[in-house]
Amino acid sequence: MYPQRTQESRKSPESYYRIFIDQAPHAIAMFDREIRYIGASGKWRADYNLGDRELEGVSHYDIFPEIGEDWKLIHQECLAGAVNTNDEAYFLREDGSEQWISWDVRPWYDDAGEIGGILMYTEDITDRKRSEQRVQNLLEITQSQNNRLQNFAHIVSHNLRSHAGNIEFILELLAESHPELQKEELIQMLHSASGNLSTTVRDLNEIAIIHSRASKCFSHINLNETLEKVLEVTHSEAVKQQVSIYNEVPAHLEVWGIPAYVESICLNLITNAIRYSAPDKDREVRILGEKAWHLTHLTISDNGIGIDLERHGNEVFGMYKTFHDHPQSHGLGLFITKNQVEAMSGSITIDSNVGTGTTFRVSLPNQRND
Amino acid sequence: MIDVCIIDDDPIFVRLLSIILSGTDRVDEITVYKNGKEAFETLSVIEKQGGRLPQIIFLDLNMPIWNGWLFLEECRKKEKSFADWLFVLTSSVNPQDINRAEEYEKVEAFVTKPLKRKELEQILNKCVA
Repeated sequence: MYPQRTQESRKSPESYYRIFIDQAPHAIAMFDREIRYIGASGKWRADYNLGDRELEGVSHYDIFPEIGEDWKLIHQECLAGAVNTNDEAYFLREDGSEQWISWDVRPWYDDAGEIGGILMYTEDITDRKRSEQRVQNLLEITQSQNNRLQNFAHIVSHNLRSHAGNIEFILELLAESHPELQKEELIQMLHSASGNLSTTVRDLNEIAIIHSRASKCFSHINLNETLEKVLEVTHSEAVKQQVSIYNEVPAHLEVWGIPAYVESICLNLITNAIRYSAPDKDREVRILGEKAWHLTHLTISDNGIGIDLERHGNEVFGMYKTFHDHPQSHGLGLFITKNQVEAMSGSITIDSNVGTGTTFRVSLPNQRND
Repeated sequence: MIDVCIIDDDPIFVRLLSIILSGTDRVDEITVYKNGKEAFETLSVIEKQGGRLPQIIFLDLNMPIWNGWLFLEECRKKEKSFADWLFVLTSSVNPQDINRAEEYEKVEAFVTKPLKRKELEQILNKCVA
């Protein structure tokens, strides 16, 4: 037994390579100096549709006649001692199929330290490549749809503005030249319809503009200072509604965004919190802030009347959605807020229960991300 | 009394603006061009012949053939202005348009439609004084 094993262990490195290669879980093939097969792993056979065919002694170039001079040159370089690799190479096979391959070609050495041939290691990354391309395509489609939509919004809002403006103008002149007509109910209705149209067009415009604002107006914004500024504006309303507001945002917390948007988001959420406070308890609004990794979270909680999310969850941030019969609710605030948050690569969520209150959580980046 | 030139392709707006302008008793002649090219060419001829040029131009932005921007570009190449005052008068509220208009020296102000009578009075006060 022992001598026999010694005998075996004296096999040339070539045969060790071969055993190793046959069993390898990767696509590996070993060639002699003439690029004829010495061995190939099962994965190699599978990846290149070689089945069980006899490979030993067969030239790689006979099996794949489409292999070009560029590859032959690479093989020659490796036979001269070079190691060549490529993370993603494209191949058009003779049968018309396409393949993306990551490969590594290097020489192997015999007992005497001479180059005995080359080893090729390849990984078929076609599937990965295809899904990458699919994602890329989707991204491009989405981008172009988004651009078209924005263009559309601009054109529509511009043209609507022109016409709505003319109607408003005509009514104004009519009111001056024919004051007696103003008593007519139909004329009054026309005034109010024209006013509504102009308001709608203005709203549309505001939203179209949010997304087209140039990114250059981004800066670091101190959240606490912004909130204090907003709280000054909302102060009188809070006093009137007897709502106590606690700003507990840490002094140095920052977000990376567009100052006017951050201010508008805070103003809108705080105004909402005051507006929908509950009539029969100690009304309070609590504002918290924290930094988590590259995001800053802002939470604005009230103990107000709340909203039935089971019923309205999907619509809270929709356009022209109102859920309470409040004279100042237009159903645009949260829609604009969400658009502004998203224009700064942030997100907004709501948590609410009828009778116990509502919490809005805004997450915005706190550092430049490009 | 001043002469006013309106460059705008919207006949309704032009008519309405003319009605108010005439109503002010401060405007003598009102000339209307339907696009930037027509305005530029005609005004150029008048200028060459030493004719009567307007004191105020109201320029719309979105127009066929030559839009307002093209008109402004061509005016920029000229040494002398056609009018003493040029106002961009448009339905656009796009900040990009507003910023762009600011780059033109000859643009006195960016006015957004619908034009209110009060705004027009202010403009006339400024120019006629």
